[in-house]
Amino acid sequence: MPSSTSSFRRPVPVRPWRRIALTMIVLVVGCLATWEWYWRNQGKQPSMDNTEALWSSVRQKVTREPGASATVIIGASRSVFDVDLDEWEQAVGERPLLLGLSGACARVFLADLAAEPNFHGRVVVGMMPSLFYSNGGPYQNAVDYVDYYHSEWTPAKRFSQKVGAVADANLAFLNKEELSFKALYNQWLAEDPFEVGLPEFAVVTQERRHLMIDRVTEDLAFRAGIRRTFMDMLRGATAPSDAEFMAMATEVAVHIAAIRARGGDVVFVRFPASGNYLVREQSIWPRAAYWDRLLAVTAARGIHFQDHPSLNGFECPEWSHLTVADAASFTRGLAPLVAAAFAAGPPNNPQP
Amino acid sequence: MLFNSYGFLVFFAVILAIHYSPISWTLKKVSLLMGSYLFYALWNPPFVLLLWLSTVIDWWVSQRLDTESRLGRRRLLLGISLGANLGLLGFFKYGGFILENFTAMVNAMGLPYAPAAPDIILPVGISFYTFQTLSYTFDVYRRKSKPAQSFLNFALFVTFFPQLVAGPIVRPDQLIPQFRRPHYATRNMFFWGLFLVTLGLFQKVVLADGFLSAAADAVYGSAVRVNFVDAWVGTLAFAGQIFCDFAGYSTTAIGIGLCLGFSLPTNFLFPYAAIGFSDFWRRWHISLSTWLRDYLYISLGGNRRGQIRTYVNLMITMLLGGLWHGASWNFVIWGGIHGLFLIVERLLRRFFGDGTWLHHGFVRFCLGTLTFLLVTLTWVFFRAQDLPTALALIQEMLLLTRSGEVVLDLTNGPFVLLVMIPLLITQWRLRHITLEDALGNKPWWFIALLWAGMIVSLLLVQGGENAFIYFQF
Repeated sequence: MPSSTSSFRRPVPVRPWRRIALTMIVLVVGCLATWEWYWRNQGKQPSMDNTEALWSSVRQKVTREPGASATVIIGASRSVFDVDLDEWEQAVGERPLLLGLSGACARVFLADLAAEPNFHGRVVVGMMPSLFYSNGGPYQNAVDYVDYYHSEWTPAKRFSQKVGAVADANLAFLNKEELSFKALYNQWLAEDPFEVGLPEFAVVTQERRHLMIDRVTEDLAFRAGIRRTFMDMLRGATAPSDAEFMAMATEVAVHIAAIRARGGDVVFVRFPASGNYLVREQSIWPRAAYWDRLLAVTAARGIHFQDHPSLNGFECPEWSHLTVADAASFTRGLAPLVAAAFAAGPPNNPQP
Repeated sequence: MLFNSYGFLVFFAVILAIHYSPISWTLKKVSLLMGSYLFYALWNPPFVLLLWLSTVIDWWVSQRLDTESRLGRRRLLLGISLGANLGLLGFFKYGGFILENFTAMVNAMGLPYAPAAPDIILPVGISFYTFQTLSYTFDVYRRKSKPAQSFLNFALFVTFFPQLVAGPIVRPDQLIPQFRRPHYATRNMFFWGLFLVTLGLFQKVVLADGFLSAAADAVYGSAVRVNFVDAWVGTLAFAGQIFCDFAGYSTTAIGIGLCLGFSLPTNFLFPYAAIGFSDFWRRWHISLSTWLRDYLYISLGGNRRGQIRTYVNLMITMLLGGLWHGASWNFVIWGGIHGLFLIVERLLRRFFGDGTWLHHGFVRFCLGTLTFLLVTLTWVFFRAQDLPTALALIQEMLLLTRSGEVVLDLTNGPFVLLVMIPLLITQWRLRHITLEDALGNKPWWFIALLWAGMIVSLLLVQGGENAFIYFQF
């Protein structure tokens, strides 16, 4: 390649660059291929990093076609574990968007959709009481994601997310939460892997669906650790006071009204839980006070897993989420019920 | 768009493909220009208009300056350029700061005044590209340079994407002549450029974000007072982080330029091996320090108007240099401390002279260590959220108080020493040579191993797409 002279020219080391580059490529490919092979042998699969960017890539689809109908499912982790998008689409002819987030408060996402002028669709709210009625960490988690979408989701990041998704979807070692250097180092430091937090126990798809890994059902100690972590999360948890509940429920009612005013609707869903976790959940947030009453105050329809034979009887291996197979069965039952609830429209006037 | 993003890899590949395609040089420059606007617009499209405004105004001013001989008119034209560029900078970067301080001053006088808080977005890179275009206008005004003959070349000089957002701040005679004739990379340039891109990203993603930022964030974001050890470790972490982050950006920018056949100036020369603050500013953010020297310090009179005036000019330059970094009194204090150290150094030089003992290896090592420790102390003001936090940390670091707590642990603390010790040793050993010299003598397999190691590290650390620190300036 010819080069021209100029008044300013940097010095450049003269080395056998072709040999250097080829050697570098061989070394890099060899190292990464070995690393990838090692982790695949350990049972790891490619999984999307469950980041603000991934959430935003789905959130932007909410307004992709202004005026068009869409069903958006929000909530915490159960809403992304327990919904099989293929089954849903097969059952009702529409593929919903998953905007739920593990450990996050659904009220924030509901508010975001209510404030979105170009959203005219329907919202399915996965109601997990420990997170739905939170004003602390889970609330802030959700706020951080929504704020990222509105203030940092630049065209550059959209483009980069699209390109990066190709690598994430094909390489198992590109799992930042579990297989980055820092994550591995922290796991090595901790005597008990659960010390550094809840280990990853799902593969995340580009549509943000969480697929529970087989290790949860096959490795009893691993499953026990997850159960223990979930129970620890409920330690010291308290239900909101009556005044706090009414403030939250009223706020939710306002958001529902805004969504309905644009032609949409909202349906609450109580996804399954099992074992000691369900018992504890029901003791802290009794159904009558924190589910039935929420539906009454907000004048919204609700689908509780315990009310329908097609939704009941599933066993959550770690007490809180469904396996991939059970999520498919559960969705076959849920999707038509949700469609029917939307078709029926809002119940009569709200009741305090 | 960030260099450390998947999207940039695709963007750069397309730019390279167009640059080395069989189309005319003019078309290639047009595609580089459009690519640069796209690069900027992908952050926030409307702000490309500010780039345009700065480009058009300075092009028009420089063309008039070339033919205008009347001093009054020339000064007016210069004033237009200064007004436009500094006005843009002032509004977008300092508008909120000015209003905040004006409100505080008025309230302190007993007058009630509570304006609505402005919501002004800071355009990325505005401090850099306004200074770059101002250097062009100044050089034309001083008749040091002729104005660019081609608007395309000038627009490309303002907007050239590798250095648009965070420097190096390039002088017109360094870059515009390179656009006049076709420029392509030789094999050496291209591969060295790719190596530098890798090195820059390694510094940013692996060292700064991967190993150092956690400790710095833990200390500077602590809700409790931090103890002596953690205050030093956290500040050392930030010293390393800001160097690796900023030098990483510059290195990547230089590498990208080389891949396209263009040479950008060096911006960092092993600054933590500096002996004295004058030496530090010849090694740290060289493009800014030389800009301030040539267009501010010398314009104020430099060292030509006596000792006292020299110190005043030095302090003004450093205070404004600090303010350039951000709309906060912390940055002004940071600049002021550097100004103070520069003045003290000059006084000490006058007192001690240039004795042979000062050139003794051990003495120079001690002075270098002292310089690094003092520079590290100044970083406290640069990084701390506010003045009380900065002062609390300084008190702990100087053992003026001992009431702090431990905030660092094995998940973040050890990495600071793991990175900083080799970094400082490397900088000290290479302080008299350039990176090109250092690697130019190494065996080919060493360079290949190093290159491969950096790429593998980049992929194993899996840093997120974190913005470079200097984007906020």
